[in-house]
Amino acid sequence: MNEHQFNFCKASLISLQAELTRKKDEIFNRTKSETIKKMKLEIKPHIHEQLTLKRKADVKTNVINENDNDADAVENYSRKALLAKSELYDKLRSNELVIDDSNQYLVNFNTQSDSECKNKKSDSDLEDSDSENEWVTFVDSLGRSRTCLRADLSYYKNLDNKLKPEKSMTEIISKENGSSKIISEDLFLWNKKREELRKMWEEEEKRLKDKNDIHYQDVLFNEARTHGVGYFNFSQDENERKQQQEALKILREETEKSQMFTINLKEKRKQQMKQRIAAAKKRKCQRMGLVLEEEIDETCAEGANKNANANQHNIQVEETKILEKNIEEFLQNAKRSTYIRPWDVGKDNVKKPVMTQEEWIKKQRAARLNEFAPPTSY
Amino acid sequence: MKRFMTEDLSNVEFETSEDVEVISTFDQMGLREELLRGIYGYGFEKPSAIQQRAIKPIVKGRDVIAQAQSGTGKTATFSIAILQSIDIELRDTQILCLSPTRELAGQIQKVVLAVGDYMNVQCHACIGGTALGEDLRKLDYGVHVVSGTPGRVYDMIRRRVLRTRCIKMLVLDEADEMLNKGFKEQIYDVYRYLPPATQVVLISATLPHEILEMTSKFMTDPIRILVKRDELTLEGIKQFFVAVEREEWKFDTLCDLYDTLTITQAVIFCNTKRKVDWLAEKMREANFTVSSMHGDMPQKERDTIMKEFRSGQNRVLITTDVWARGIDVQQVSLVINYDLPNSRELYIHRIGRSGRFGRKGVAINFVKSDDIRILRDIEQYYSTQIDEMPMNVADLI
Repeated sequence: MNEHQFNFCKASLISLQAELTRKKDEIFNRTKSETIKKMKLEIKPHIHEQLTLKRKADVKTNVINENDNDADAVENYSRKALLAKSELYDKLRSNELVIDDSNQYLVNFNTQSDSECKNKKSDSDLEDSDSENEWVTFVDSLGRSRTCLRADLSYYKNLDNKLKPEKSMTEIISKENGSSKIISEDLFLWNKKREELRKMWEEEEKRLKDKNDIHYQDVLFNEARTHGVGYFNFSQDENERKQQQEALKILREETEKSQMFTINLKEKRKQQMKQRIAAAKKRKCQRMGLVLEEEIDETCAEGANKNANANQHNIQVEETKILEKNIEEFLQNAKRSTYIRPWDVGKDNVKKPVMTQEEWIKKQRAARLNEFAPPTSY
Repeated sequence: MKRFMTEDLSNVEFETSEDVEVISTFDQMGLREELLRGIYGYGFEKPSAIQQRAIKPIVKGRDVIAQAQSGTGKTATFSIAILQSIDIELRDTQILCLSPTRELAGQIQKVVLAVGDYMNVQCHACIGGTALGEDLRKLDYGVHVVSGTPGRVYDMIRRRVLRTRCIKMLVLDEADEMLNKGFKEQIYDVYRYLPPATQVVLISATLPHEILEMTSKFMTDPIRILVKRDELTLEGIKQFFVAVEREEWKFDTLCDLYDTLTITQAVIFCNTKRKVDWLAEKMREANFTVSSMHGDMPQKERDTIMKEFRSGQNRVLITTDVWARGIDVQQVSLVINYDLPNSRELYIHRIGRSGRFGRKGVAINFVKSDDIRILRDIEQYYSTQIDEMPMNVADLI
């Protein structure tokens, strides 16, 4: 048997054992009194949640709500489902039922020794008599309260440790109305996480009510959003936020300083290099008896002057363009400022604008009866 | 002389203004340093087309009508412009931003706070369904920007809690919805309390002609940045339809698609609140995990559902058109129109919940035989393509 299969086998064994102890408890409690009715579980309409709760009951969860009237129904439902499941497991173990599809059941019943099961059974029978004091409760890696015999505690804890990395992988098969349903443990975790988040948000909102300054981090509420690389998650505490901003400011100033230093250094090196090249050129020219550097410089300067003149001309053209644009904008702004919006009429002494002659004529023409208008042919 | 008078504009074709300058980087826009830091921190690197065009004129104080495809950064456009325009030392309401839904108003508050994080800007969401006392306290303490819904904002103005004397800009997000029959009166009421000639900015992905016609009533010679309707659908959002013979079959189709829905996040639109409740209940009965939201739910519940959806806790949301406009959840890559929307504009907004800021998106329309005609009309109106859903739709998400 490979290891993968073996793990499932063990997990199911525990679940099976828990069922057996549960069944035994039921019988014990029924005979004792009707107090079982007190075992009321908080139910929610969602079928997933009902079944998740059932699983919680499987491992003897301590979540009990005394005041729920619908709990009896759930209790009965849960009991039926468990009985059916246990019956199925019994049949499978005793080979009464042949497994057609090996993937259907996660428990490998063929390799499980009968004697081991019997031993377990007898153990639990023993508990039946007087083992109440031996029960211990511990919280597992999923945050559930689990109850088991003190003797089994180390075994369960070991198993729990093994489960930790792959806690979301296990699945339970339950029987309901003849059809099997797979309820993922992810759902249970999801519900739990959701509840936790809701509680956290409520607390955060309460805190925000007393806060004067609200910032982005206060209203983010775990939003799954990708920010830019430059995003800094400031603290929600006002003082700490200020400190962080100060620290960032100092860091930025330092960066700017170092950037300036590097730029200056580069510029300096460039200048030095230029001077060196110029000196080398001069030496070379002198050696070869060619025209002196100054003369070349002069001719260069002439060319440069021409360029400068052209540039100046361009700048002048640009400037006049900008000036024209500014004048145009100024005139447009003046026009805009005289415009009175119809929705503004009546506000702070804003009066309806006086109509221009054209507008008046247009309005009068619109109001005139057609028979008084000049003929269309005119 | 150019006049800006109210004229008969029904035959005028509105076009993008001629003098719109295009600035290709945020650095060149002349924005404050802290604001730039906020912009880059929020995740923007290069301005989108609308951001390149609209930020500068808004900052300059011009009235602006800005249209752009869904998910291309319209909210950030006016948020950046707002933050550049405010005087951070003056702790009084300087900008009023109105939106059609509470969720959208809250989202705008978030964006303003995010982009203005280094400026320590104060932005309050003034929305209905929340405790009045909270609004009173926050507004009395003083905020720079108020993002709200018209009803609660008007209430606050009338109570003189929201002081309007320092307001220099009014932003109407989803402007076509805000100036539609249902909201126009309320907008007028709020506008009447603002100082005369307050700068007005209108933003939306859809701006029908009748809306553009009425803008001269409360705007002065606005700069228009418009998008032609055949360019309004995004290449990144693939649109499909599934033909169903009977209404009942839609449910089975949805169940078949559930596996695809949960790849990232999905939004399912129904036309009525009752149908949202019904569908959510039916999905839950069939053991599918879904969440639902509509306008008849208590605000607290709406808030929680929004938070859960935004945090990625819930992957499938069944909702009404309350979710159609503006809501931005990065991970939404699939939109399902369980019912076809009641207007062409809503179609654009609904499918625009997916494919946010350059991401991929898929829209699937469930159509009965008599709906096909409506879908073809939408297809033709926006010059887009809506094909029958392929088998490998999951690969496109």
